[in-house]
Amino acid sequence: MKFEYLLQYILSGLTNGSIYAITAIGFNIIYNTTGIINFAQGEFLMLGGMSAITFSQYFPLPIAILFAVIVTSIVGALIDFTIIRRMKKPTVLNMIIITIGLSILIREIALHVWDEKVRSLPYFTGDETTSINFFGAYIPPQVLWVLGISTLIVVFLGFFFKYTVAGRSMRACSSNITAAKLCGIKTNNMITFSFVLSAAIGAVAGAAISPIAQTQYDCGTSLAIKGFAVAILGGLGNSTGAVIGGLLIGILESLSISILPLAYKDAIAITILLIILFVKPSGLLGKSEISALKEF
Amino acid sequence: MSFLEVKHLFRSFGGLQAVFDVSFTVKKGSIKAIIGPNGAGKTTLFNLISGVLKVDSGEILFNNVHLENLPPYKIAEMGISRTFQNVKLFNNMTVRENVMIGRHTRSKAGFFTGMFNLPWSWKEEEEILNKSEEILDLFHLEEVAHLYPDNLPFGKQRILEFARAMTMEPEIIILDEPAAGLNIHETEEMAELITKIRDWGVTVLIIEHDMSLIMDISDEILVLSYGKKIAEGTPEDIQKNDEVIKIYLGDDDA
Amino acid sequence: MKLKKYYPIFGLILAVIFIQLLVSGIGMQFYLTQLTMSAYYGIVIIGLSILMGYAGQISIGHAAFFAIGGYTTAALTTMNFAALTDVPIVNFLIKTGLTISGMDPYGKKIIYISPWLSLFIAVIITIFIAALIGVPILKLKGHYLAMATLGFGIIIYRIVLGTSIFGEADGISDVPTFKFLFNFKINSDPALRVENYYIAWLIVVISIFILTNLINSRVGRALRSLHGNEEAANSMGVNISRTKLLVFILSAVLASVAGVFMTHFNGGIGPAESGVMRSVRYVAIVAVGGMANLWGTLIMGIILNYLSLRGYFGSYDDAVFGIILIVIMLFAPDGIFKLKYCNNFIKLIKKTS
Repeated sequence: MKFEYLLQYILSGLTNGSIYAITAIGFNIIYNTTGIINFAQGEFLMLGGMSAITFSQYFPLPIAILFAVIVTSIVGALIDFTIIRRMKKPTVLNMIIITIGLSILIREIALHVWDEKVRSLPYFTGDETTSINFFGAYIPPQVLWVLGISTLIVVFLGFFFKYTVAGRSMRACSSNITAAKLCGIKTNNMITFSFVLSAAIGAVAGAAISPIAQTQYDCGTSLAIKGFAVAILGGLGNSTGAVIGGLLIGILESLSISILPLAYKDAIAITILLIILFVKPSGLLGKSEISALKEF
Repeated sequence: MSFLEVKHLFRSFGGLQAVFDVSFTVKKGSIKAIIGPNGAGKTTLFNLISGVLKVDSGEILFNNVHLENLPPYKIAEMGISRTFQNVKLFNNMTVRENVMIGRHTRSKAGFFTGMFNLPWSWKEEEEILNKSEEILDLFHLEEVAHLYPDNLPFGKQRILEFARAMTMEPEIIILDEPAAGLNIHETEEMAELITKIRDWGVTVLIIEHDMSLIMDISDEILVLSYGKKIAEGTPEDIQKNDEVIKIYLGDDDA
Repeated sequence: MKLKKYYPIFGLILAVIFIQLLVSGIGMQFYLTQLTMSAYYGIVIIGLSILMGYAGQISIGHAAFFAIGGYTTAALTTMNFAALTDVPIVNFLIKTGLTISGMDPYGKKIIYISPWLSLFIAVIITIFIAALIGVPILKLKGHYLAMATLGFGIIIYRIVLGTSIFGEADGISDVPTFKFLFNFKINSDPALRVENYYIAWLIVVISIFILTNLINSRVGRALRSLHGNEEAANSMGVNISRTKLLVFILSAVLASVAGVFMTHFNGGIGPAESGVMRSVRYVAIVAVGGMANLWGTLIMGIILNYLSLRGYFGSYDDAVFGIILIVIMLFAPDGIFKLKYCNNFIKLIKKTS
């Protein structure tokens, strides 16, 4: 393969991979405070993209995206308020089932609010035809936006969890929820907040990817599956693992298209994941004790 | 040859030596108690014998067969049954069914036989049921047999776990703190049950913090501290042993 | 031997006959088509109930096994071997009567594999695949297991969608008739609705007979015990990985067999049958029916699939299943048959009978 092509594939892999990583981090934020996987995470990306598109008809792009993030965050908060908090038997199995239900419901509501049409946001800068020559590979500017925004989110979250009171409280919840409660942390608020945060970064990612990947009412599912795969691959709850896993899957997936038919693209990422899980059941960077503890 | 023999057993968790060069033997038909302060490695030792944990090095011989690193179900098949420190019952099954599981190693009906309810399993099912009723009677559980274990008082749950382990008709039963959390009457009932099963010829290995219970029922005592064997002998020997007294009452007078 | 545990099965048989007579009596025979399809889905669902409810292992990829069965038989029975009669294997099959010959609409001679043989092959393939992925997958727990089964489902879906012998997005059509016992036929001929209905329900009855036996057997108890507490089950002598694997295979085979018969009944199969939504739907129905409740899941499976197939949910079909999942998990996590008033009702029935 020519070097330029290889570079092109790797760049496109990095772009998708960074979105997978952000989705996986969204999973991790909620997982860490609640111990559940929110299968509706992909719908946050879809909602972010879709509502940004709608708002962008009336407002300038930055404001439209801001509104989209706010709307999606409210949906995130509502999910916790109306549903997650009210579970009678919050076992892992029941949580998996209820969030799958939520994901279907949000998707179907989106279908009836919008429609089946594929939409996309305009490019943040430039348009489809502009591209930057990078060692012989052509990069659309939006790719840089996606990579930049993803990096910003990761840096922001790292800062947030390390240095802010809210971030530290959330980490306390993740390591021991009872102890956190005893220390006076309002764990219920932290759980709501984790839904809001995870919805918000989902919305940003959804809007950022929209110009290149396009948005449709059901685009959340495949993103959620990839994001979940990446979260598992990196070890649930481990955000460094999520970034590494995301970029890895993104690149492998994009390289695989050069060899195998496009139809198998989704299967490739998951096959890799399954193989890794079979060898190391707790993911790349996951601790085996943790995965064994949080069972059904 | 002895019945159960543990030779130079080692096991560590990270940097912590939970079991360090422990050797002892158990005579057939005796009650052997293992005591020691918290964190002495008693439960780890039991987990090594019952196959829940893998050993780092050393040997565990049961009737001259190596047990180390066999999976728990294989060890159960050889006639070693156990209870857990924090009671582990099947809360999705009735008390009767919990006890019936005890017959698993003593019955054979496989997957296909089960699927088609083949005639040759009928007799076996009847045997399982009869044996379970017998055990339920013996452990005074017949009245609660139709209930689910999580509806029982804690003392009854401990007894049910004991009953389940006994339904297997094991050669050795390993009891991990059977009296923990029980009141005086329940502890007495437990002590009675333990001596009763010893009289049937079942060998008992027991961890317990209740010293009066231990001194009453055990034939031999092994003392562990920080994973090491400190002393071994009859209850009288142990009560007189200086080192054991030091461990339990403290080294310094401070 | 106690017959008491079989009473519900006799009840089911009576209900099946009653419904057929009723539906035919009022001249609404076309209802039987959806009832037949619901019956086949019901087989998948009770198989999943054993795996999820009794053994406690989630599978969000069960549609894949249905598809493996359906696509295997569809691909094999639509392949024309007429030009390959010289190949030793084909020749052998023809001689042993394992093929069927006929004419296509243009009068050309066609020879295809007998559906009985393709059923057999489908079951073998299913056992092989289930065993192959089951060994590593069933070591996983919780979310990891959910992800792995979901992933397996997606892989099968993608393979089906991307492979030309499986018809890609179009699926496979013109699957021939399955000649069942005593010359009864499984196909989409509207004139044969009644016999198709009875064949489907016969298979349901056989499946539920097998599963009822299993739950009440030694292996069944072991199965439930490992759901209750794996460590304790293991220390009682239950070989956890083997028991889980056998149940996984059984559950997969039931789904696959349902897929085979359904495909012959419909005369074809499409990729939607192996989609994620389909798997999620099976999980939803098992949850509604109360997981470890064979009859509950079967009843809900029939009702919900029937309503869905008759199109009562309209364009809200998927949304209805989403809402069902949420509502059930919120208000009746043990299934609707464990709700208080429902329970009282069941008690009342037991008392009066």
